[in-house]
Formats: sequence, structure tokens, C-alpha cells
Amino acid sequence: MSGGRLEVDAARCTGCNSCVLTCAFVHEGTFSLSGARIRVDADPISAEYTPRVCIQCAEARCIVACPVNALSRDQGTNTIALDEAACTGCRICVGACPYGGIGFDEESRRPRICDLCGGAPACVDVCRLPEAIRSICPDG
Amino acid sequence: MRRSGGSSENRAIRVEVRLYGEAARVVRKERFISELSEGSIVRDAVEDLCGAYPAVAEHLLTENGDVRPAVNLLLNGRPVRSIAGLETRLEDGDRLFVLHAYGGG
Amino acid sequence: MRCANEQVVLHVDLSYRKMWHEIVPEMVVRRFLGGRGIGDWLLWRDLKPGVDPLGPDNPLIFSAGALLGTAAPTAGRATILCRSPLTGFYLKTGAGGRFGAALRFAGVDHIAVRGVSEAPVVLWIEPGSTEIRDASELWGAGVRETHRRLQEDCEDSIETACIGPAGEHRVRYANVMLSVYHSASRGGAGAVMGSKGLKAVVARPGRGSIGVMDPEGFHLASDRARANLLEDPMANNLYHYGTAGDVTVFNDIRRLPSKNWQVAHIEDEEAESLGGRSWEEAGYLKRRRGCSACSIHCHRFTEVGDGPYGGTASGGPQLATVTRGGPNCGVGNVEAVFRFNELCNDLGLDAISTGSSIAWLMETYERGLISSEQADGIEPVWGSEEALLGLTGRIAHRQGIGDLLADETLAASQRVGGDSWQWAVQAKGMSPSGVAMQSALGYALAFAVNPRGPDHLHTETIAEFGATPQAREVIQRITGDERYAVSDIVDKRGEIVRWHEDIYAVTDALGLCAFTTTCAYGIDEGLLAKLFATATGVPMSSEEIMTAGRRMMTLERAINLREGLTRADDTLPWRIMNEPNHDLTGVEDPIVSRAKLDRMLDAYYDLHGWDRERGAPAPQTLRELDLEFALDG
Repeated sequence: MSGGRLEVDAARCTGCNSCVLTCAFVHEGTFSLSGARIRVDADPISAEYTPRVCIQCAEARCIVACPVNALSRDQGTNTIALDEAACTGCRICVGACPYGGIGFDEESRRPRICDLCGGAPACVDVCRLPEAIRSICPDG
Repeated sequence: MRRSGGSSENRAIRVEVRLYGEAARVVRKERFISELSEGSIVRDAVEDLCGAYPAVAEHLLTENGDVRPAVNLLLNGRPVRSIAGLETRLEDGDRLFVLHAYGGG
Repeated sequence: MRCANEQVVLHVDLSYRKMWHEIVPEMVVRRFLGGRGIGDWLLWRDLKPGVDPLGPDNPLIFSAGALLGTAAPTAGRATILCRSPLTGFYLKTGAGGRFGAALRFAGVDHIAVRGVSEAPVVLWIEPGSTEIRDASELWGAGVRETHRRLQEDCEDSIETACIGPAGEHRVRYANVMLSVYHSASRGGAGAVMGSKGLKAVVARPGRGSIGVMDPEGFHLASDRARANLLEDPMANNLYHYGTAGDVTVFNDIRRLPSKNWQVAHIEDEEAESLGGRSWEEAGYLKRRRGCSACSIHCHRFTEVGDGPYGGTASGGPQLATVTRGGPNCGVGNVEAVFRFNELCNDLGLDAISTGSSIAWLMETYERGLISSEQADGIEPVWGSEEALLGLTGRIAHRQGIGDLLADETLAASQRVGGDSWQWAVQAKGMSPSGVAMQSALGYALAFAVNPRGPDHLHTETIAEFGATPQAREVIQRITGDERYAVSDIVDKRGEIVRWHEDIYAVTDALGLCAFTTTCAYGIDEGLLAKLFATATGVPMSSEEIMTAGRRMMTLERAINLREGLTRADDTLPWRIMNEPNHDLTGVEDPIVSRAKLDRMLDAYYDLHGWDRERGAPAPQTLRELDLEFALDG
């Protein structure tokens, strides 16, 4: 797959966190809410759930905002690539994303950005029901 | 003579067929009155339903004309499997329920 | 990072304000798995027989299932255990939401609370720290308000297990609400929490994480389970329509116990609007919801737009809430039922006992044993929404007539006298969930022997209806013949109940939802064993894991025998056993007679290796299950 992106339909999200837990597991090897590249903003009282994840948007304000040019678009995968060595952990990209799609790892002090799992996003797989996160392939 | 469809010679019986789940979605209604001749069996009511709504047949019946395992038929609340299956005799005023699943909670 | 084979108990003594940790030995994990299993083990050890359920010596145990925090499908269930203030017997009551997972991320698998705090407190648990905080300001607050204010004290997300006013007032069926809308409903765990002055337990997951021993194997087993559930017609039904989806079906086939179990159906139009199938189109369904790691998503969030109940909004309602608050009280207006659900959730009441107690009062009033004056001017007639909702509030605060109803139907009938005990539809002092037991004999047996009282949440024998191919296959496996997948016969009910008990216990212990193993039947013994073994590294076969379930059931029996349970307690409500219900169609014998129940009990005790006199496990049975420690009871 190339040039894919994620599409989120918050109205379908049930707040189960399966995507978050699985994302952390796939990337970090353990289950957690903090180790994922996706999060679900929750208001448990009004039952509002909103998945927040990089949707590989066209304008990519994070790339523009980065003061040290550590972010770039990977033309092959359409994901936002991070130059770990150049990154200073300033968090400006986190604030720049209008979708709240960038997380931050306090330990390594580096942003956490969706890498589409190299082409088969695990979050999409565990969300086959209710299908709140889908994988879109622009080439059909 | 076909047993379904009602006949002036034979006394007719009326069976209310109630549909749930997939069957109801396909038929777009939840109630169907099957008018059959006396002595009809559950199979006749199912065939009558499938005759009136051909689209529902594939949801209810296998290629051999048997009722699919996923479909549960209840006659007045009792599984027909525990009576005489599709051969179970129908009486006037019987209610036949076509279910896909129930329970839970 | 913690692993599933290492389970931590946080002990809290509220009288002395002391806390300490205990690591559960691996041999105990192997035998009791986690969650309810380890909870049983702790309860056996720490509960002295005969203590006051509402006194300092009743341990209140919160147990997160062994797989909580992972993404194993539906691994979101936590169990609360204690001696029940309602029945006097063993109590386990569970709920989903996200509290249990958060508790494990916070570093704790089980909490054992004893003692009593003089002033209201909150137990606050986060990775690396536990704290007892003052909660005087929160006392009296509803569940939503409690959660909201606790969340204000913390930047990142927390999960709560808390009580409402009903628990504070020690209503004997006060519940504990997890993650705001998930009710650990039955048996009065909320009253025990209230008696200890414990308003809430807060779990802050923070940066906590959970590891598994064989990541690849675990991932594969989880995938398999998820795929099975996606295929299952029952699971599909639960997603689309929720647990209340089939109200119309139950009504049509006349299996909807209504008006305090006197009739079995209501008006078609009422059933239609009460059933979950119609909520989406009617605009009530705001959202489908799922517990942590859920792949079924049966929970609902419903709202009423305008009209007299406008603004009502809450999680649920579940099937039991709809049928006990609705038809059982003669109420057919779904919006009033939504309001009843919201009240029970926010005040912290078990909806089954609440609705059943009100239905009992309505019949008592109809039969002239109580007057409107005695009912604080309320006229408790069938179908009165005002009575249903007014009484619910009074029960939670033990106001006036509410005080009578707050002890449930058996105790209330003893105070009112006359024949009112006959329509106190209860066993072990607890009202049953709304299953027409007369035509579902597996349920009837399961209700009679359920250690906590007559309901479906210890053993749910849905397979006996034979409604799906999966269900019929289970019956084939258990009994050797799928023709036993018929619910109104006595034969093989013992076998069917015992298998469901075992797998239900394992499901609880792992923290999975019972809908995966005893409703949707998407996860079988082998898959449970695989999930547990790959998570913990503890080798486990499907036979061994089912034996662990049997071990839990047997130890729970031993706990109850220690509290004085006899065979006579393994019974069903009088009305079910003595008043033929002719409203049930297609049922030849519309009661569960003493003879019928006795036949099933004998077979069931024999299968378990329990004696027929008391249902006491033989010494040999205890030894075979590695329960030697329970030999001296």
C-alpha cells in the first residue's frame, strides 16, 4: 500500500480503547494507554468519544511548524517521518496539529506519530466493528 | 391440490407468521398471515412465506429446501425442533415465529 | 511493566488507615487464574463466617480479571466480592467499563478493603502510589457528580468505582458504579462500601503498562476470538440492538414476566417501544458503547429529547432494567423507563431489586395490605410512572415507605405480614432477573443454585434455547445430542448448568465478558486456555482451565455452607413453584414444581460430587480440586 491514510468517524466510536491498546502493543510490545500513537478523548459522562490520530492530511502543519525540520512526508508511505536525531523534543508539532493527532512520549521526549503500521494499520483491524477508524486507499 | 393458498372446498386456517432479524429486514415487514388448508404443516407456512417473498427464501432455506441451522422456528413459543420439526401440524390461530437469535442481558 | 502472572493485592484497613501489598503466589494464580477466582480465594481466607455484612469485618474485594489492560476481546470486566448484606451469602458482582483495566495499569490487581472509616474517604490509586483521601465533600453526591469532581482533581483521565446515595444509606441492594455507567449491580456491594465510609476508588492509569509472556501467541489468540465474535449472530444482535433488543421477541412468545410475574406479556405497541430495536429510529440511541477492549459493544447511551422526561440521558438501559422497571411494574412508556434507568445509575441502585420491590408494593397495594397514606401519599398502582420514579428516589434515601422497600421484598413482606410473602418473588432474599423460568429449566436450576441468588449472572444457559448454530453445537458437545437444546425439559439440565458454570467462572476470572462464552459462544475452552497461557506463561490446557472454574464454584459453595446454607436455600420464588402461569404459551406445565426442581438438584449435586442432603462437597471432591484447605470448613 502506498499513499494511504486513516479516516476517523467519531460518531461510531464506542470508547472501547481497543485501537489504543493494540497500537501500544504493536509499537512498544506492551499494552498501555500512554504508549500508543492514537488516543481516544473521552467524556465518560456525556459518552463522547473522539479518536485522535494522524490522518496524513495534505497540509501537514506539523512539518511546517517544526523549527528544526525534523519532520517530513515519506513519499512512499504517505506517513509523517521523524528524524529522531534532529528532533529536540520541543512539542511544537503536537500543538500545531489541528486534529490532535500527535502524541508525545515523555520518556524519550519524542513525538509519537502514526506510521500506518507499515501498511496494515492494527487499529483499523481491531475496529472492524464498529468501524470508527478506516483505512483509505486513494488509488482505489 | 396445493395445501397452501386457501381453498373453498377445504376449511381454511390462518397462521400468523412473525419475522425477526434478517428475515424481517428482507421482507420489510414483521407480520405475515398465511392462509392454509386444514391439515397443513409448518413447512407449508414457510413455503407460503417464501412464495410471497422470494427474497426471504435464501435466508431461511438451504438449497435442498431445508430450514437453515441459523434459523430458529418457534410455534406458539416452542421450538418446532422439539415438536415434529417442519412436519408439525398447524392449527387455526397458531403463531409461528421466525427468529435468528434471542436471549442475553 | 507488569505481567499477568504477577498479581498484586492491595490491602487497605480503613479503621487503622493502614495499607500493605501482597503478591499472590504463582501456585494460587495457576489454580484460581485471577479476577473472581483470586477474589474467591481471598474471601475464603479473609472472611470469618457470621460477621455483620455491614460491619468492619466484612472484606470488600475488588478484583480485576487476569487479562485486563490487554486488548484480548472484551477484557474489561472487574468483580467485586464480599458477604452480601441482602442474602447473607457469598456475593460476587461484576461490571465492565474501563475501571478494571485502569486499576491494573495503576499497578494493582485486587484490592481488599476492611475496617470502617469514621469520615468519608476516597481510595486513590496510581502507578507507584496509593492514598486514602478525604471525601466529606462528596458524601451525598450522585454518581455522575462524584466522578466529575474527582476528575477535576486530576489532569489526565481517571476511572472510578463509586457509590451513590443508596450505598451511603445502606440500601441492601445498592450497587457500585464503574466508569460512571457500568453497574456492579446485585447483592448490595454498594451498601458494604457505604458502611465502610468508602465513597469511591479512583484508578489513574497514567503511564502504567501490562505485558504478556508470549506476545505473538497472545495476539493470534485475540485475533481468532475477535474473528469468531464478528461471525456470531448473537454478538451481532447485541451490537445492533443492545441487550434490550429482544423485548419484542420475549413479548411475542409470551415469555416477558410482567406485573410482578403474574402475566407473561404486555401490549404489542408498548413492547415495541420498550425494545432496543426501535431506539435508533425513535432517536433515543445517542451512541453504542463498549467496555475496555470490547468487540461486541452492547452498551448504549440513550437520551430523551423533550416532553415530560426531556433531558434524561444515561448509559444503558440494559434488558433487566427495561423489564423490571417497565413491564414488571406495568409501565409501558419507554421514556419513563429511561428516567428510571438514569435514577438507578445515578443514585446507585440495582435496577432488578428496585423494580421488583416496587412491583411487590404495587401488588400489596392492589390486594389492600397497604394504603396510600402508608405509602407517603403515593398511589402505587400498576403502570404509575409517578410511583415508579417517586419510590425509586425514596428507596435510595430510605425516606418513608422507601425504607421498607430498601431491604427488598422478603424483608418488606415480613414487616407487612399477611400473605404478602407469597408475592415477594424472591429466593435467598433476592429478586430474580426476568427470565420465564417455567419454560427455561436450565435457567431455573441455575437460578436455584447460584451462590449469590436467583439470576443469570453466574451461569447463563442461553444455549438451551438452541437459537443459533453455535448454541446447538455447545449442547451437542455437553450432552452428546443437540436435541437437548430445548429449554422446557428436565433432562441434562444438570450437565448444561455445570458446563456453563465452569466456563462462566473462567470468563469472570480472566475478566472477559460472559457474552463471549455463554451467549455468543465465540470463545471456547481452548481459546480461553490459550489466552491465559500466552498472557501469563503459565501452561494451561482447556481441561485444566475448566477445572479452575469448577474449583471456584466449589469454593463458593464452601463459603456459603460456612455461612449456614442448606439445600432448602437452593430454591426458586414461591410464585414460580406454586402458581401456574397460564399466560405462558406452549408450556405444558407452567410451574417449576418441587418435584421437578428436586430431580434437577439431585442430578446437579451428583455431578458435582456434593451430597444430596446439603449440597456439601465430599472430601474426595475437595481433594480432587486441590481444595484440601477447605476440608475443615
